[in-house]
Amino acid sequence: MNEDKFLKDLLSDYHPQLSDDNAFMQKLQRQLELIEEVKTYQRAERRKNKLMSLKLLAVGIVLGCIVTLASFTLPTIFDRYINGTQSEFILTLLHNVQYVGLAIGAGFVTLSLLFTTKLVNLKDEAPHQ
Amino acid sequence: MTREQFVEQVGREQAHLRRFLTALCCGNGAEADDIAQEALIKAYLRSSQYDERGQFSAWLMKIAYRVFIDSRRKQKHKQELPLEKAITLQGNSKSDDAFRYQELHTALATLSETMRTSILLYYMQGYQIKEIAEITENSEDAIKKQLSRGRQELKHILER
Repeated sequence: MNEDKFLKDLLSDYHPQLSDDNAFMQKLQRQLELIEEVKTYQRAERRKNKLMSLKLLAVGIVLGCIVTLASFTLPTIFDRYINGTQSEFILTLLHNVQYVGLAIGAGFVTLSLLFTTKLVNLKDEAPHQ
Repeated sequence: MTREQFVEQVGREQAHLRRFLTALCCGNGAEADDIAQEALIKAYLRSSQYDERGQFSAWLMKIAYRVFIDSRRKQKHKQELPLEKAITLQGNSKSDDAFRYQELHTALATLSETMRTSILLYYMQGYQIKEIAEITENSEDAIKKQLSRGRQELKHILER
């Protein structure tokens, strides 16, 4: 086709003056270096967060276990002080100390589980781009 | 693909890409360079998704085309230009160059962006209709129509 040839000739002869190749590539290389720096920083941050989550998980589990175990022995310790106390609130608290202890223990374990979930998410998270 | 491999491949392709983008931006070399840089950064970030069996240049063209379309969407007022306005259009490339290709740039500016892309990919870059359809995410029939209309419009304007 004539139109085909006309356009092919016209556009194959199109050689505009581009900016310097080296300058263009150097600019690109600089940008890629910056991207790598950001990626390295993000990787380090992820590692730090993961370590922090692991520590919090361990602390949560240990505290949860201690408080739960303690809640079984606390009533006998507190029974000794009940007689000398007048406050209704403190008396109620001391009578139910086992439940309060269990609630706090459960709280710690729940928090630990939440951190574990976060840990799993961090593991699955793709690097930011 | 490692960074070194990516840079090596880009080094081979960048001139073709920038030539195509300069024509697509109707002679505006600075805009073409900005789009090329943005497209290459996007390509680098997505390099893990690149299928090595495919053509690297076509993959780059596809990303560059998307960046170009997005950039045009951002500057809505620069969409399709009527011929009268396009005639006054000046690219900021070197003056000799702008003068040499002024007529061509003016004619290209009258085409829609998708039509211009199809024409340039077909006649300048030598891609097949099927490849252009993949790059621009259009059907092959749509590309054939764009080529046919674009051919007529360009010839009509350039032969005035």
